Amino acid sequence: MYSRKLSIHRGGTARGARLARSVSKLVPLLIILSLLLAACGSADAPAASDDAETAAEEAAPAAEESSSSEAATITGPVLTDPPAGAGEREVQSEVYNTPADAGGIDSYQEAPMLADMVASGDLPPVAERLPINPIVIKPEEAVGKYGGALRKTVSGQRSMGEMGWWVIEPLTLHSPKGVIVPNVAEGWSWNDDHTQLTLNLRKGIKWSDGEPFTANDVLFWWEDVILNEELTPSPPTLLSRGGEMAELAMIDDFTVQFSFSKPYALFPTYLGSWGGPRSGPTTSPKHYLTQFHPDYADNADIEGMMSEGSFDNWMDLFGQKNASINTDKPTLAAWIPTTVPPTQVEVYTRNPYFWKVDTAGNQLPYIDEIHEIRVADAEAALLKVIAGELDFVRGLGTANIPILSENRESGNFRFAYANWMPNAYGNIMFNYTTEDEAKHQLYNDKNFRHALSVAINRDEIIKLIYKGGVFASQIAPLRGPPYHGEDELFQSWTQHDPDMANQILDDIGLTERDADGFRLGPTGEELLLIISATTAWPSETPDLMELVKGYWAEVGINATVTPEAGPLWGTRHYNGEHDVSARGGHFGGGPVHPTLNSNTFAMRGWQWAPDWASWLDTDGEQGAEPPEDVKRLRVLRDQILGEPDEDTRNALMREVFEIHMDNIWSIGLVVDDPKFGQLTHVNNRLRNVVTWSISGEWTPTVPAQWFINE
Amino acid sequence: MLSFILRRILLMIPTLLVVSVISFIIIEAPPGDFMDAYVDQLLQQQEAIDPAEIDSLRLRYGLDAPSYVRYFRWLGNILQGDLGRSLEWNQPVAKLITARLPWSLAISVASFIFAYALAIPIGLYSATRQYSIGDYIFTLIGFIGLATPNFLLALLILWYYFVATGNVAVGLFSEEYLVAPWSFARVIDLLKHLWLPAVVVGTAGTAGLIRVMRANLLDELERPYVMVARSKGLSEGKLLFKYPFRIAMNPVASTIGWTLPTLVNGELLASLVLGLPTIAPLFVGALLSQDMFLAGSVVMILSSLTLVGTLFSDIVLAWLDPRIRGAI
Repeated sequence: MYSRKLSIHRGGTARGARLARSVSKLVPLLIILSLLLAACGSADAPAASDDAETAAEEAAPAAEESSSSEAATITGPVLTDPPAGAGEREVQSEVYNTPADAGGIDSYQEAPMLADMVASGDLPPVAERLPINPIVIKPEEAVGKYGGALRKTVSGQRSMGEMGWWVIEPLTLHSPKGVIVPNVAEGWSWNDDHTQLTLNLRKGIKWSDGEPFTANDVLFWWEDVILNEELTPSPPTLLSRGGEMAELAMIDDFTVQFSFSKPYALFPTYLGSWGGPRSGPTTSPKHYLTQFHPDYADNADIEGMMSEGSFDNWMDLFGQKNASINTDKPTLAAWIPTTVPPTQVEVYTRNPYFWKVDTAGNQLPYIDEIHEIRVADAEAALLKVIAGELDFVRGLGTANIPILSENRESGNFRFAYANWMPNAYGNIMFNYTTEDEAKHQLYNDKNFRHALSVAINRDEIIKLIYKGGVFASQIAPLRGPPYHGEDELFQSWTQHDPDMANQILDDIGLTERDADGFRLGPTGEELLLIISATTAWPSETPDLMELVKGYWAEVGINATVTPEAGPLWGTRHYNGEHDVSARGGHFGGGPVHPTLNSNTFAMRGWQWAPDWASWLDTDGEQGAEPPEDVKRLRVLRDQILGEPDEDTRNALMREVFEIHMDNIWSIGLVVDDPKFGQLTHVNNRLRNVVTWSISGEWTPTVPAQWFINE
Repeated sequence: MLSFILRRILLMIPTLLVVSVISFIIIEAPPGDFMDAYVDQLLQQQEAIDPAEIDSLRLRYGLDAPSYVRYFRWLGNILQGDLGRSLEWNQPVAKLITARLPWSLAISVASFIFAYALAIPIGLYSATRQYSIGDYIFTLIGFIGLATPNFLLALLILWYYFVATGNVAVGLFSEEYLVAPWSFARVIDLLKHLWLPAVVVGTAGTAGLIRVMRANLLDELERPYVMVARSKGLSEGKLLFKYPFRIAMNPVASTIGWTLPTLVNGELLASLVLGLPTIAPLFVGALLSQDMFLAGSVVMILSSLTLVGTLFSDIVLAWLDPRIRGAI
């Protein structure tokens, strides 16, 4: 039975020797032998498996193309000066709507790999691939050179990293400086009362398969995707106004018109920033998607495809074909996916029909390929960052700053900031609809919340829990214009003042105390606040709440802390089962008006009082009636959406924030400095990257202008 | 014998059904569903969430149906050989798993070879030289190997390897071969990277095997028949390998039952840390995001393999030992 192993061992045995001695002589030999065996074994294992080879071959289709990038006209680095550090340079990059705006462009050039394809007749010349008016990008530092691969990483659980944003080229887009500018739409105009928006599409843009992009594609998205109730049972919030769905009409091949029942001046901003209006209109190639839509295709064909891909219904089939990761779906983006995640590395290759050029007439992007390297473990990803094996990694978080700074020189990288919506950690929320009469009365009294807020020593929390990178604050919007999250307003009720807290608590009638010195409830019964702290986001929430519990005890409020796993917390929270609860939160931010943010405007899913939001959504059929101030938030939102004047809009937003800071529906502890929360790692070989981005998504900074400076 | 095998196979059917119910319950046990986990993830990435769009997806995925409806839908598909589609990756589960199976097998086989090739000679040495310095050293190493969680060992090795060489041993290929087509150089590059996961994944197994081997062999060496054989002048090498060694190998060989599933899904956490393209990270991700079809299918496949492995050991044992045949 063991004859094979036996023969190996027996071969080295010295006959007649003492057993022990013989084995001891044997051991080094055996170990060497076994290591050899291991090596041979591992050599055989993968080679023996044909499946492994084909799988990996599928994952690497475009590899041979990258070698042709060596033929770029410029050899060696374009820039010799060291790159600027985070925040050290004002944003230089500009977006020009047309070549004329950029001062005129004489001729267009293309990447060597595309020039080869043109020469061999596989591709039309570059001038024919570009639209009549390509967008012209003034590069951040210099006109770059073609070639190379951008190495990024994507965590194990997600299908796409930043590419999820980068594969979308919306109708409008924020410029690197934060102004909404034309993108796929070349221009737009409103009627007088801002109820009708006419969008002029850029003429001559082509999908990545060479088919023209026209208003038909936008109309297909609207009529056959958004208005199809099977595909979209619940249309995106931002596409309706005043409770009524917008209407879309196609005026001609390059003109579409949105009509709304009420003024919607912010709509062009939303087209370029958030949710359904951003992604849908320009990612629905009609000529491709109609194959999977029963209104166009033959039912038998669709059913054939469904059983082939084990789909339960045509909507799932359509959804998969319409996903941005589908390698067959034509796109308008700078890079096209060539692999289906999850693989070891997901490869995106340049779109030969991309419709943006630099100021010298070079068709963008400069970089041939994007490699998203899948690393499941955060520590392992960090190691790759430190080793300089990645070019661009965003959202590194505050905890790793020391080790990253230490290795900045050896890893040959620099930092960049993204000024995005700040994370507020440890927001304390109250159950405003609790069935406990005494608590119901207390929680709905804003004086009670003020007292609990000033009882907290936030500076001590920062010292004990955070090493830095956070500020004492109520939950706040983006710092700097237009909302000024750093404003004193957001410092309301954040001072540590136990005397004031005691005074307020006495004033609202909580004067009786029990034997331990804890205050009794309004009717003399025991008062215990049960804080459910999520362990998911941020994970230190239970620690924060233990400290809070101590501060509250000092002013006579008895509390206890229960840590809860993230999903459990979420389910219990939205079922109204929590007494007091704590998790992170946002007030929205970025250059976009945070109008969609449910926390800011008490929208559906409002973390702080889901029942109130649901009452407002259902006109009082469900939930519980909120106070007037909450209703006022919705009124203000309505005004903001329709208000064309930015100053007036900002004044309205100010009023929204004042209402919040007066009511403190959720007590905030700290907010992070988005600079650090969004700290980004950029390899020094990667240039034309802005030193601070107006968005954590980085799309507005035009990654197509980045190049590898080698 | 035939009826014995038949009985065992018939018994597998109710077992698998029970496994399917239990795994469904366990996967569904955490509150919330795939969309809740998805929303949680978006929130942490500071992405704006439109509840209307989430509702659309939930309806589309049929997550609003009661759990028993979803269970029978899932089971019905599995019986037809359809493992369903992964919600997270929007791909057929079967495709996802088969794409990763070769890698899982490659790493497992490499680590098994590593473990057995190292453990058997060391166990042999330790037993024959009990309480020698070498035995103590191997015992110490063995205990450390047993006591250190794999993923920690993986992190430590990664870190020291980085400090020592400046390279990061994450993944199975160097940068230049990552997207290259298969070639001889790429295979060599793969081999250069495969040893680390093999060592990390194999270490705990090696340490365990050393202990088993040593203990079994020690038992045998004290048997009277060994003494008799020695007194009759049998050579030490022949004596050792012909009898006690073979008997000591028996328990090692009867571990096939739980070897089969580990071949497919061995050492979850180490694979995660080392960024290996195996089934393990996929499975962990599916559990975290409550991707019912993917997680459930992996559990079902692992359970089936365990049962098949057990059947196989039972058959081997029954073949060796007639007393067992009548037992069940």
